[in-house]
Parts: sequence; structure tokens; C-alpha cells
Amino acid sequence: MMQELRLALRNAGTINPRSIDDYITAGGYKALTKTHNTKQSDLIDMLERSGRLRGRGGAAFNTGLKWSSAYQAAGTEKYIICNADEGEPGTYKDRTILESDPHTVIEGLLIGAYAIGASNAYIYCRGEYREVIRLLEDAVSQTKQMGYCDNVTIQIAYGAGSYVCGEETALIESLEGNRGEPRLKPPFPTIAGFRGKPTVVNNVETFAVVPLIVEQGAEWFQSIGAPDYPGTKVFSLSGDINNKGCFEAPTNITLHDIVYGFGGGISEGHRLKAVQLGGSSCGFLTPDMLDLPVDVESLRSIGSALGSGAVLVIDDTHNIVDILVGIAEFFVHESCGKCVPCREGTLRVMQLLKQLAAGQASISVQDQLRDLSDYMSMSCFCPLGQSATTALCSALDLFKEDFSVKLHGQEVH
Amino acid sequence: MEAVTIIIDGKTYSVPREITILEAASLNSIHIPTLCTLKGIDPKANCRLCVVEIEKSRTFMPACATNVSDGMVIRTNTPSLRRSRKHTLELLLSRHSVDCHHCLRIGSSKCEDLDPTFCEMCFFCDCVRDGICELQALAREYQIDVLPYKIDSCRYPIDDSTETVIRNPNKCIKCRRCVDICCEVQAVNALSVINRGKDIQIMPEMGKPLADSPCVQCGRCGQVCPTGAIHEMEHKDEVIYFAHQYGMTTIAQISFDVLKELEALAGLASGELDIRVVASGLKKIGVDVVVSDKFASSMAKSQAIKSLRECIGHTKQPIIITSSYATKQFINKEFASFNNRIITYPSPQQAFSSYVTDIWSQTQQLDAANIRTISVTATNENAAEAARNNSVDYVINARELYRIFMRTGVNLKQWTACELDSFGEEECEVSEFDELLEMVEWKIDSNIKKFEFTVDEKRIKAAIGITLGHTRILLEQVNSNQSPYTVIRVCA
Amino acid sequence: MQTKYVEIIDKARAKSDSLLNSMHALQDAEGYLTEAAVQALAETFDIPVSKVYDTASFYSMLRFTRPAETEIQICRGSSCHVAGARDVIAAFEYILDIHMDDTTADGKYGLYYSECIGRCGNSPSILVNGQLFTEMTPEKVYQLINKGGRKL
Repeated sequence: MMQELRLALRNAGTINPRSIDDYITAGGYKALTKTHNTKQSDLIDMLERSGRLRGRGGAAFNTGLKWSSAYQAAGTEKYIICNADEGEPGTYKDRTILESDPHTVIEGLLIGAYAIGASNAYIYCRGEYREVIRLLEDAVSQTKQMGYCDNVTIQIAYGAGSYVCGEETALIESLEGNRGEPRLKPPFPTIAGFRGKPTVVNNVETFAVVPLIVEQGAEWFQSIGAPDYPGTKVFSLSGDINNKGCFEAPTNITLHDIVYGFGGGISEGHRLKAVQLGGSSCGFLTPDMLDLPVDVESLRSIGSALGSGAVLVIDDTHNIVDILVGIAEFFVHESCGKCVPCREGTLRVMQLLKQLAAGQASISVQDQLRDLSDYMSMSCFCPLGQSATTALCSALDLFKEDFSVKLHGQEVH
Repeated sequence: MEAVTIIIDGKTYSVPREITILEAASLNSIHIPTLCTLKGIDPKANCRLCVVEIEKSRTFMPACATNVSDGMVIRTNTPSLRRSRKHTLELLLSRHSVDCHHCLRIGSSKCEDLDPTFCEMCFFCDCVRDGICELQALAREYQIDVLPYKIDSCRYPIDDSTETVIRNPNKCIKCRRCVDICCEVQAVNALSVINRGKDIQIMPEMGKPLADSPCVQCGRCGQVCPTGAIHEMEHKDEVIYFAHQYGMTTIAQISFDVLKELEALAGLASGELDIRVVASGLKKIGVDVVVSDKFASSMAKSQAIKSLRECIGHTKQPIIITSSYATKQFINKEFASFNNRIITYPSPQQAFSSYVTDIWSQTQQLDAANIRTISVTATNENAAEAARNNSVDYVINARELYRIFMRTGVNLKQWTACELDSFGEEECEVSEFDELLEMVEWKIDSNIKKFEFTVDEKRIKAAIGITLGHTRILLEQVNSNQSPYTVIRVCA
Repeated sequence: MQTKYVEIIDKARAKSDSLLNSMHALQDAEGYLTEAAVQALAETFDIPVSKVYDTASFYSMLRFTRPAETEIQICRGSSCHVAGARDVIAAFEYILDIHMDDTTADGKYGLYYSECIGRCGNSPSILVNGQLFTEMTPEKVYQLINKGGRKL
């Protein structure tokens, strides 16, 4: 079984997160100092070509490429933003990282600011994480006092209850004081983002490992995990599993090791039915896929995704349709409402699933749901709408019996 | 400008660089349906009607907001795209108060509520946009029939608090054209988007009545709304009633700006519609006297010239002059300190109304109480003035007139013209203020008109604010003592 | 513009220029965004009042009406669902005698859904006036309400 390897969580439990001195003693802010003696282009080059650090928020975009684009963009006013608007259901890794070691994220943010030439940085933290916000504000104060952000102003901006603000252009809109509605791309944020200026938005976990890569080098990072998605991933476990909690492992860990190793297996007397990897916007994996390594490319080859690294374990006491109803309600509530397919489509999907769950749907409901899914996945404005029915489609393929049971009005057990 | 080569539906085209797919298609007469697009406003890509397939793109892309690139391969009308558009329309219609008679099969129809004893089957009880609705036209194009969803019986109250601009949230498709116009172009900021997701609504400030908001009833929102969600108050019932009443004289004034819109509505070529055909149509529905607005406009212009001659060089500069009621309301709400210094001259409606009441009724030996004055005009900026009894009895815009003609059998393509009636000499003296006072066309992407003219051998710098956005800019300049103009005319 | 609002907004703006931060600060002070608070935001940030409502109404944490004395939010994320949130919901509905998305007649308790609050490792989770309670069960629901003084 694969062992845990803590990079983003390297200081979790061993330092006092409220003490910058603890962080420094543990080796903190050395990387930042090192970067100030490195050329920006060399720093970015290392990340882009050698390290291939891919974003840990869900989109898995090459971080170095993002930084490179912003660095090369015209203008001197640039921004770097840490996306701490963790809203994907089942995901709490960012909160865990921030609560245990806020300084690694701040250091990563400052390194990024240096790399692209930004003198203004924001940490956009979801409004529900009140304690985390306070912790961050104190941590930033400490960092300022120690003189580490002499060239960069870091502000903590609060979200206010909107999942879609986790999408980078919606986040930028929110930061500008607008509704959190996604923007048209192009222009990409690295060219014209916050206030129309070059902007980099990266996830908490991405920033958390940047200091390590700077210190230990790209080759070291490249040697860990899967070749196309090197490094580690922090997984958030939840559901019908004996050990819930966050753990961090190389990206080529298998689903089996996650569920039965770190997760400690399913509760006595029950069987594994499904694993939803990546949160509510991703599909399900079944027990026959347990030997799959969970890196982005391996999952993509079977039409699945890693997403945020949320791992929801579902045992045989549940009918998937009931879970789909909850997911549908989530998307109805979180749809920003800008485009018709998402605003209206999510509503109709929820209504149909509720009818189905209550045993009141017509026989054609599955076709109707597939139709709506196809439509939304192709015509919605942004990834929220496009992936709102991914779980539904996956379930329609993999759990036909659950639907059948609901159609004929029976309970599962 | 450099050109790029693109392929649309299998055919190759050379189009300018840096235009959108929608613009490229339009240049080549390729039809792509749209609902939220508004020329002059940045594309929002909300409605997703204009989705197209682009080779190598994972999802459908909005034609209105995607720029062409060299070698791009585009398909605009595949079965998948048509299915997508049909889905979009079905979803919209199932949360829309459908009471237009062309779609009787779909949902509710007021026909069921009618008492056959009294109903005259005039079809005036239907939706204000029936026959001229963009959503309805698309529903027909995509042959929307039975809706596959539970119809949401929309029960939001209708807001008629201003008595001129009417909001019917039950027909709103949330395209946001009205918000764009109200905020970005008119800078009035009365309308906004409230709430999120399925609960989104377009309204003033969390549901305040429009009359309590910054709304000045300029009517531009109604002009751009694709459905009957926001529109001008109709007066067709009163007009037809009085037109047919014995002992009542109805006299209408037609503004030439109505022709362009009537041509578009009737499917006529630009310049093809003669005003005398419109006059004849009005007479057919019972209007007794029809004049053009040239006479009243001349009268109003004369008064303006008189005021300007008195003021230039004698009063506080810059001189701010307007005849637009909506603009006066705007100044009252946003620049109240200017109230005492703006110079007003009559609107065409005011001039017409006072002439008819004070002079014409005498010469015709008619009791003014038995006369009803109607102004047929393309712009709605003075409709509120009429509603508040300060000018004509009824203001009818081009759309309402077209609707009346549709129902009363006046086919503008085939109608015979008749001569206009006249009050007399219509031409106003040529004056140095002609450019300042000439009619300006309201366009979304128009610029402040800046020019100079000579008065008493002195060069005068002047500006005309065509939209309320311009008006705001010009007056803010005055407020901060940075206005370079001697005279400013402001419109809505 | 009332001085108290000016003070609150200035304090928030000293830390961050984000509009949402100021909105949160005003709501924390009075429990919800009052009309006067909205007016103050419009004046300070130099934006139309309609724009303040436009932005604020988008976010589920911001509100324009006074909350119940005790606002209970039950997470309906998939993880909490799988862990038994339905039983917790049923318990609350039974004890308080109201349905979800409703307030008791005396205005004392409000029962609402919350989307995933990121406490999936300790689900089912709930928030009571923003305070977190994890690993909820119907028994814990009874204890909680009893502590709050509700007679069963």
C-alpha cells in the first residue's frame, strides 16, 4: 500500500499555525528569499518545463504556463489571487491546509507575485470559513511584520456564499464588487483579468507546494507521482468509510489504496457501491475500477476526472438517485442564472429527479434527463453548467438498477 | 483592415479580422438566431440561441461573442444545434406567461376566460407583443409545440406604477437588454438584476415599484425588450373608442420618425413607406384629422430660438436646453441644482396639444372637451408627460400603431395613401440654431454631438447629449466647472 | 449617511477594498443589510444603489431581512447526505414543528439548508448562528434544542 507523502501538509500537526516563527524554524520563507535572487523568467521556466506543476483546484492547468502568460503580458499592474473559495461538496483540503499551515500558502503566493511581477495579491476565502479568514489575516500581519511582503500588498477578501465564485473569472468578478458571474474567455485572465489587468488565479494547494519546488527543485517534484501529473494530491475523504479526513499521497495512488488503505475500508456488513471522485461535478467510479491510479490523465482515459480530490465513498445502503437529487438541488441553488441552459436546465433536472426519487416519474424520464444533460454539457456558458449533469450521466450508465427501482416505486432495502 | 478566411456551413468566406462569427454571418446573409444580442452593447452570450459548432471546440460556442480566426470551420445549423436551440426555447417558454394567440397550443390562453356574449374577438386582450415578439418568432421558426415540462404559472404582479412604462415579470426571459440600456447607455440605473439562478429577476431595487426608483420613463428599455416583459402603456382601446364615438373629434399628429420602425415591422424596404399611407390607415380606424408633426415642431422650434436669442450672452453659461420630458425628470432627480437654470421649450406633443386646444378648436368651432389629441411618435420620452395631462391625450408609438393596424385590417403594403391635413405653413425660419435644434436619432452607440455655430459673429461651442448617459456626462462636466460649451441640448 | 455606517465601512476598507468585505461588516453589525446600510455602501463606493442590491442579492450569505433569533443551517452536501443528514433534518423538523426553509411562528428558530460547508470529514454538519456542530445525530439535535430552551 502506498504511503502518505506530505508536501502541502508537511507541517500539519507539527507546527503552531498561528506562529510564523514556527514556520520559519521548520524552514519557511527560505524559498521566498531564494527567489529574490532568481530571475523571474528562470523561476517560471522551472515550473513550466521541468516541474509541470498542474493546478490543484480541479482544472489541472499547467501553473508555469499560467504564470508565464501573465509575466509576458503587457503592463506593469498585475495581480495574483489565491482561490480559497473551496466549495466543491466533499472537499475540505484547502481548509485543512490553511488551518494547519497558512504560511506555506502565503509564501507560495508571494513567490508567484514575484514571478509575474505583481505588487498586489488577494486571498479570496469563502465567507463560511470565518475562522480561517481570521487565521489568514493574522498570518498576513505577521508576514508583513517580518518584512517578507515589502513589495506586495496582500488582502484577504471574503466570499459570501457562492460556489460559482470558485471559477476564476467569476471569482474575479466577485472581487471587483460584482455578481459572481463567469466571464467570456478569451480574453483569458492572464491577459486581462482583475480590473482588466494580467491576473493569475491559483488554488490553495497549488501555492502550498510552490515553496518546496523552489527549494528542492523541479527534478525532485517530477520524480513523485504520475509523469503527466507529478507531485502529490491532498484527498478529502468522506462518506461510508471508516477513516474520514484529509491525507496526501503521490498522484499515482490507486483508488483501492485510497478506500481500503487510508480510508480504512467500508463499515462492517456493507459493500462498496461507488466512489464519487472530485465532488458533485464529477462522475462515479465502481468497485471494478479500484486498481486505477487516480492521476488526471489515467482518469481522463476512462472519461472520469480527479477534480478537487474529494473522495466520497458510497456503500450499498444508498440508492444513487437519492444522492443525485441532492446534487441537483445543489446546482439549482448555485447556478448563477446568467445563461438559460444552466438556470432553467438545472431546475428541470432537479424536478425530474425528485419525481423519479418519489416514484412519480414517467417511463421516459431517463431519456429526458439524458437529453437535458447533453444539451447542458454543450450549451452552458461555463464549466458549472457543463458539468452539472456529469454525475447524473455517469449514474445513468452505471446504476441502471437504482433507477429501475425508483421508477417502479420500491425502496432499496 | 486585414481579412481572414473562414468556412461557414461548407462555404468559404473572406471576412474582416476581429469581428464576431455573428457579424461575419450577417455580412454574408447567413441567419443565426439571437435573443440577448443588442447592437452597440458588448455581447453577453446569455441566451445561448446563437450557439454554433466550431471544429476542435469541445462545446458549442456563442456566435455573438466568439471572434473569427483564420481557417476557422463553423457550422451554424446542424441537427445538434437546432436541438439545442429548441431546448433553450422550450425551457424559456415553460416559465413564460404565454398568452399570444399564435401559440394557442402551448399553454394558457385568455380565450377560455372570455364570455362569448360580449367578446368581440378583436384579439386585443392578448399579449402586447403578439405578432411582433422575438421569442414568438423563434418559437415558430423552431416549431415549438407541446412543452415537455411542467408549466410554471407565473404569478408575479405587474408593475404599472409609472402609468407609462409597464413591467410584466411573467414574460421576462432575463436577457438583460433593458438593464444594459438603463445602466450603461442611459446611466439612469433604475433596473438591475436581483437574486441568483432560477430566482433571478430584473427589477428596480429588490422589487420597489418603478415609480419609486430613479426611472424617468425614457422608454428605451421597452424599445429593446424582445418580449412583452417591459413596454409602454397602450392606449389602443381609448383611441379606437373615441375615434368611433359620434360627437368626438380625434386629431392625430404623426412624426416622420415613425416611418422607419413601421417599415421594419411591416417588412417594407427602407424609404418605401409614405406617411400619407399611415395617415390613411389612421383615418380608416376613425381618426378624423391627421397632420404631420412639422407644424407643431416648427412652433416649438420658434419658441426655442426666441429663448436662445434672449439667453446667449446674457445668462449663466453653459445654457442647458431641452424639450424632452424624460430628460427634465432626469435632471430633477439627478441634477436638481440645475432645475432653475434649464431652458425648456415645448415638446412636439405639447405644441400640438396647445395649438389644437387654444387655436384650432376655435377656428373649427369645436368644444375642446370633445376633442382628443393623439401623437404618433417613435420615441417614448414624452409619453409620461402626456400621461400626467401635460400635453396630448394619448401617445402612440410605432409598435402600438402597427398592432392596431394588424387588428383592424390596415395592410401597410397595400393601403392607398390619402393627403395629410394641415394647420398651415409648416416651415420654420432658417436660423443659426438649426443644427442645435434638429431632430437627433437615438442610437445605442451614438456619441455626444459636438459642433460649433455662429451667433452675432461669435463662434459658439455646442453639444447635444443624445442619450441620458451623454446628458449625465455633460452635466457632470458643468458641475465640476469643466464644460467647454456655451450651449448644451440634452435629450433622453 | 449615518456615522456608524461610515465607521464600519472605513474599518473594513482599511483592511481590504473588496465590496463584499464591507457588506459582511455591515451585516455583522446589524444582522442584515438595512436600507440605510445599502445607501451608505452606494455613497462610499460611488456606485448606484441598484448596483449594491444587484451584487448583494447574488450571494446567499447576505440578506436584507432580519434573521431568526437562532438560524439553523443544515448542510445538504452529498457527504452529509450519505452520512445521514436526512435524519438530522427530520429531527429538527419534528422538534421545531416547521419545514425546511421556514421560521417558527415566534421568530425564534429558522431552519435552512446550507450547501457544503467543507466539514465533510465530520458529517453530518450544521451551523447554528454560524457556529459549527459536527457529527450530528437526532439525539444531538434534541440535546441542542433543549439547551436552547425549547420545551419538548
